[in-house]
This record gives sequence, C-alpha cells and structure tokens, in this order.
Amino acid sequence: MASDLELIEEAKRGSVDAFTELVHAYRERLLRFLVTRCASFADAEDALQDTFMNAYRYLHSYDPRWRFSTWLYRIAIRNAARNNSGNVTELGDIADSEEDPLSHCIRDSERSNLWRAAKRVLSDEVFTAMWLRYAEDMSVNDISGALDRTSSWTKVNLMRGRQALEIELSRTDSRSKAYG
Amino acid sequence: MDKLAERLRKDAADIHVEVSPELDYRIRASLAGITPEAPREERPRHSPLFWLASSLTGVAAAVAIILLVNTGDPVAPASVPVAATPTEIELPELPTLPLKAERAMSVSPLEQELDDFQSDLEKARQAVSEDMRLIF
Repeated sequence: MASDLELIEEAKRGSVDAFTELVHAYRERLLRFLVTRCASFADAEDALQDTFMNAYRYLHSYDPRWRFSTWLYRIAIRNAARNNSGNVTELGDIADSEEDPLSHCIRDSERSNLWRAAKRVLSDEVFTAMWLRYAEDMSVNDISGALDRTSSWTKVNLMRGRQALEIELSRTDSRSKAYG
Repeated sequence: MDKLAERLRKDAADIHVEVSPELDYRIRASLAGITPEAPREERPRHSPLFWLASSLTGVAAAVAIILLVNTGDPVAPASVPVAATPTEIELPELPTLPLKAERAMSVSPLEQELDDFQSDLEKARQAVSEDMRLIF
C-alpha cells in the first residue's frame, strides 16, 4: 500500500485515482470533525466535499514538512467557518437543538458524550484544538499549524479547555449523584 | 494517559458518521472536474556578476547625467515681465449724508443695565470655574 507522500506525488502528476485513495483514508475522520463544527449534517457534507476539492486544486502548495492530515484539517476548519458564517443560528443554540448534527451521530446510550459538553462550554477554536489533540492525536506543533496559532497559544488553550471540561464533568457527576 | 484524554478519545470514536454513496459520488465527480493548479514558476536567479554589472551601469549613468548638467553653458534667466501698476486711482465723488445725534438723558436705566450685565458676567465666570473644577 502506497504512503500518503507517494499518493500525493502521483496526484500532483494528475492522478485522480491516487487522490481518491487519500479521500478514502481521511473522509470519515474529517466528516466526524466537521459534524461537530457545522450547523447541520448537510453542511458538514458540503464542507467535506469543498475540503477535498480545495486540497486537490491546491495540492502543489502542500508542504511535505507538515503531516497531510494537518494540511487537510486546516482547509476543513476554514470551510466549516465559511459554512457557519452564512448561518444565522448560533453554535451555542445548535448544541441543544434538534438540528444539531452531533446529537444525531451519538447513540441514545452515549448521550453523556463529553464532546457535546465540550461544544457547549468551549469556544470554536479551543474545541478544535482539543479535538485535534485528543481525537486526532496531533502534536502541539501540528495543532498550531492547523489553527495558524503559536505553540504557546495552543498549549495554554489546551490546558484551559481541559480545565473547563473537568469542571463540567464534576458538575455533571454531582448533579447525577443528587438525582440518584 | 489520563482519564480525561482517554474519555475524550473514546467519545470521539463514539460519534458515528458514515459517508453515503451519494456523497462519495459527489466528491469523485467534483474531483474529476477539477484541474490542479500548476505551481508558480520561480523567477531565474541572477548571478552576483549580474548585480555587479547592473550596479556599475547605474553608477555610470548617474555620473554621465551629473557631467552633462554641470559642463553645459549656463543659460541666462529669461526676463520676467512685471505688471505696471497705476500711479493714481481716481475715486468717484460720494454723496454726503446728513447725520444727527442726540445725547441720551436716561442715566439711571443704563446704570441698572450695567449692574445686570456685571451680575450676569459674574454668574458666567462662576459657572466656568465650576466646570473647570469638575473637569480637572
């Protein structure tokens, strides 16, 4: 099986098949992330399509010093933001609404999914940093690259995100104990 | 790995998404219709000799201009015509108006007016100094 870099080189030479292999490798990971950031599942699908289109169009500008996933996430974050800017609904409202695509993707038995709380209590950027760190296992440097932020900003906000989630977790635990 | 990180990882995996065949088809179709942009061609790098020759040409041109300007015959300044000013202006005769003035006899109301004016002036001065005190 060819590595990402080999596929990228082939795609740069005009092979759609090579790029389609990359699409298959990353599409579900990216869609899972976009579902957390977009106002609806349809928006997440559109953002995914736009992400791969932009990536293919501007593949020559990919710098192999970065991980390919970092570069893809950077494009996906921009597309998600673009989709959300045209939407009148606030993200805070989405988390509780019936239209929330994240709620649709979580089974009833997993309603206490921590990412729902994260979406409620964290800002967009901090949520994304936390997602890249804990769901994607990205390094601080890669996260900084994807978010176009400094390493120190990323470290500080990852720590703040963790603290906010720990507070939210302890609040939820005490509430569930109070109600038995 | 700490508990929170483990929980976040597990919960992320519990978000179930599936790329539908329609979306897959859409992505393939859109990729087939795209031509990847070609990388921009880099401008050829010039050798240090090029920069040296370019600098020497610039210096030679500057010296030539300085020499041309300084060795040419000095040109006499062209005479500027001065506008002639008329020596005397003849004014038309103006008609004289008969003016009559009478002395005002009412002294006391004017004194009253002056007192009122001075009182208003004092009030205004106090208001200004109060404003100054509030500002500074």
